[in-house]
Amino acid sequence: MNYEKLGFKCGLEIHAQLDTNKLFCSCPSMLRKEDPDFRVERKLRAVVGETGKKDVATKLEEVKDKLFVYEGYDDTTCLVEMDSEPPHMMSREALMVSVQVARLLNMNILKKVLVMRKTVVDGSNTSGFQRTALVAEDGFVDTSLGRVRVNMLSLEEDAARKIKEEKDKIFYRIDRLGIPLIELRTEPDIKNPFHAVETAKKLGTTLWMTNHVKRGLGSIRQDVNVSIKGGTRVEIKGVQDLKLMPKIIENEVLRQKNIILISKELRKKSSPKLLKKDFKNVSKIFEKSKSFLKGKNVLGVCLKGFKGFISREILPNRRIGTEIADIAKMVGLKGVLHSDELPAYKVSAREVNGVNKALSCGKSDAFIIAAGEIGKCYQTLELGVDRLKQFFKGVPKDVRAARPDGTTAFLRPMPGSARMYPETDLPIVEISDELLRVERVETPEQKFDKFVNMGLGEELASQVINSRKLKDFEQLLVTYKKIKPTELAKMFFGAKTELKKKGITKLTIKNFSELFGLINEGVLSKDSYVEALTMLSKGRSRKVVEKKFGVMSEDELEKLVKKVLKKHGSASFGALMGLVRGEARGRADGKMVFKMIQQLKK
Amino acid sequence: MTYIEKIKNFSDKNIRVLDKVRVITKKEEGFDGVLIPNSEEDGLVLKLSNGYNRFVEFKNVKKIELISRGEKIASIPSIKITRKKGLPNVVLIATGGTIGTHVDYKTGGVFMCRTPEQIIATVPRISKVVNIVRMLSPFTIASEDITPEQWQEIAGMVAREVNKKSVDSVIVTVGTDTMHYLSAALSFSLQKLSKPVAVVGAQRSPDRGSFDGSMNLLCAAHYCKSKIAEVATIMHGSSEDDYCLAIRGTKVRKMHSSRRDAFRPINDLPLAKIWPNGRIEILNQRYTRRSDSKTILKTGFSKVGLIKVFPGSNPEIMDWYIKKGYKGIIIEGTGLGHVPTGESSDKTKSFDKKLSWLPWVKKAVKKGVVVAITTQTIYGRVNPYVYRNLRLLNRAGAVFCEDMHPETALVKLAWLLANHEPSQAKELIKKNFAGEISEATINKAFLY
Repeated sequence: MNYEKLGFKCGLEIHAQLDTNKLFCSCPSMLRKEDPDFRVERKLRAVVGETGKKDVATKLEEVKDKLFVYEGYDDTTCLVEMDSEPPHMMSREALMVSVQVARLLNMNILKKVLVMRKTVVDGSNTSGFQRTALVAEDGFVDTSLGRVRVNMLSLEEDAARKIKEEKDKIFYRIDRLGIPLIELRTEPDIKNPFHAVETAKKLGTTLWMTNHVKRGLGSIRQDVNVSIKGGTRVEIKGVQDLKLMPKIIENEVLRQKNIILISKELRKKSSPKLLKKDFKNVSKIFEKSKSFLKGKNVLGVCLKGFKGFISREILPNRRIGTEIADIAKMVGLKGVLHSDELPAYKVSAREVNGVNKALSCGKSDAFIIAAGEIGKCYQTLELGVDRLKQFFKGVPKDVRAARPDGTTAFLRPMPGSARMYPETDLPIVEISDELLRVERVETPEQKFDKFVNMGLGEELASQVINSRKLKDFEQLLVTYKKIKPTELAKMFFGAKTELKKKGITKLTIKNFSELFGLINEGVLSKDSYVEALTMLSKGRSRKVVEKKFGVMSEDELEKLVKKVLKKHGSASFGALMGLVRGEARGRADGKMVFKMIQQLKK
Repeated sequence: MTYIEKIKNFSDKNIRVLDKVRVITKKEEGFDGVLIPNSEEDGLVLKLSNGYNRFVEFKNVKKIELISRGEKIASIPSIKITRKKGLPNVVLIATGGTIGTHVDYKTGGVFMCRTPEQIIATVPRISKVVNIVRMLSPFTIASEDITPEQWQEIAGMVAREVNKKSVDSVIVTVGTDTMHYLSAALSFSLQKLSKPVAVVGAQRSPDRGSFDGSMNLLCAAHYCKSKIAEVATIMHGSSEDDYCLAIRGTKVRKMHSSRRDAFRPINDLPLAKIWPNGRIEILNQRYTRRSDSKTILKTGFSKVGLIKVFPGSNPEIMDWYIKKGYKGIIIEGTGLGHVPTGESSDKTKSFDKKLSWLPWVKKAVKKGVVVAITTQTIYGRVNPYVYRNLRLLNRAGAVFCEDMHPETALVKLAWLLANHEPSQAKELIKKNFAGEISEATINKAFLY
């Protein structure tokens, strides 16, 4: 695809969790696996937005009328997360990390930071809003396809994580709520789907340079904004897997192309004015049905001129009808049925005709029916018709959710630009000169060059930089200065594969500290690191390991060499080396053995 | 110089708050945004198109250009009310506080709702429960600024309203900090009360989805329909949004600075549990029922001080109150009502005699000041006999306030002294007027 010709525009929003304490309280940023200590049930009230009207996005969420169950822990969450205590001052540590990141991305750091409340109505924040603050602006990152502008860095609180959903109840765990997130937003400077991945990776690596950004699945989340000429900006949330990113973007381009096409045809066949919200109860038709509609409330609406359109594919396996089904699911129904797919699902042709008649559908018309709780049926059809009307204008302004198969599902309409207002519980945060004196961190490039200069080789250097153990490695480098950095890196990053062969998968940083301590002091040869680490990982003490694998004293080695010479005096030098080292089982350094044989052979 | 005057220094246009402007800095950077009010002295605040507010220091500003005129500050949303036959008629008296306010989402400014239509916009469901027929607002202040004169004013207003045939009950909204002082003041002032009076507030601001005030108001509306003719606070009963507690005005106390369920009954059971769907469960059978009797307004509050003793506390503080003409002093003693005396044992020779409160209590009593003892444990009853020190205090002329918590005792003594001679007040403080003294201390009433 020629992305330039398509008028492809793409920007990223990256959210990265920090491993400091929480942003507005001193609870640890710790996700827990155990059962929660307590549960609290709350409701959220729809608030009237800035315009005095309820936001479209708010309105859609409101129909859910859900009960939110917040799960927390007695020892790692507090009243701040529960929205039962005002926020404490913003975490200095999180601010410091933001300053570090802002500098790596060549940004302007603001002198005064104003905390804002961003309305959130899905229940993922106990308060009903998310706190966020603009910290820096106007930066950039260089990529293989040119500069990508990073126009803002904000510091915000992460939302609670959804645990499960029951009928009318959503369970959220508040351990995640309040974890500081750095949000980076780029301008739409990204040229194609793979460029998006490169940019995301680059930004991710940059964030990691601070050593205070969490790694692992879910700790960095990407949202992608995509549009093409004739389409509209659509925000795709929750792209966690970078491998999936190109496919998601390609699919969005395809989706927008398809909708532009469908929209054109639709305008010839129908018009928004013809779409009436004339809902009729057609339950009677299904009284004796063999389908699942039997005995349910069934509400239908006729869609003038829509025949064939509901089943039009906008993506492989995703039709216009699927988008309406997404709404139904949000409202709390299982889905909708429409005339383009019927008769099917044991709904008979007679029943379809019945519905057509009841709704006065003509030959070129279509219908949708929703079944279940009557109120929910109304809501589904109401919102569904609104959504269909949008297709006349072209690509609807959506916020969509990434799905594991690379497609996206309708999440909610794009909110109005200004769902933010000042956080009145906190004063303005000053970025003081003292805060600005925070240690500067190296850019990924600088770090790469540093490792290469240490002799790591380019491949190993880039492995180290992208490793989640970078922080540990740098600490080890400083602590064990007598070990060559290359060797330290090889052992530290190679150990996992080596020990896996022996069936050992659990290695702690303490194991490594003990190992490198022994080598650093010269009591252990690096040749026996695999064996030594094996024992350490099994919980053996340093002393035991030293005794078993520790470097032989000169006397001991002399004895061993003499013993071998006595037996195999006539063997070649090379063979003798092998024999001695074999007997020494890694307890003797090669160079020392060489010297000793040379000495004694005379 | 006001904010706007400072802004005008940088522009010849008559720039107003909420206008869209371009701020050009001395470094020739330009920032476009909507001008937002700001309380910091040294800069202005712009709302950027991405929604964030951005601070720009005045010292960096070169000039400000007007891009377009802004809208007026959003008006408070309101909902048209249709009165329904058969629903009780309720008068709402709004006095300030978090509840009954509206936050302007652009500026973050807080505005008071002035009409029933505006209040109801925050709780549309209330109009299915009661008809809010009138909204009165004598003043709008944070509850920590409320004075006894204002308790009196509100009491007068409530009395006038409940004595109207067309009015079924009254809801008073107030800031939560001193809500329990007000509820006690109303309880004493409205004698022979024959209709429910609900005192309501909010612990969370109304701009957020988690606003607790709407459920409190809704439950208050249900309370207005009930048969309980008492002044009661209606606030969240738990940290969840499940039910509210109606707690007797003289027995309630704010026991937490920020939780939704901060209001708890002290030495008493709540009157009732009220669910937002209208279910009411009576928890305390000893309540006053609705009647046709005329409510008698007997109000007014004299100057009464409240002193807390503590280890090493200096009792001379009492002299200040005596000299300032206070007619009563409530002492928050320790435990059963102790004050330091230095006479608990023969061996307390090291006790500095100057720290004994007894001479000062005697002096106050001699001057006709009523000295009444409560406890800083908040829960439990004081007792004048168990220990020698208590008896000494009793003998010195202090009167013990049974199981009233200190703030209720304060309001009651102030009320008694405004309406009776000190000698009478001293006797009457031990007499129950509005459920403030319970004869039996119920086991379940602790930490309810």
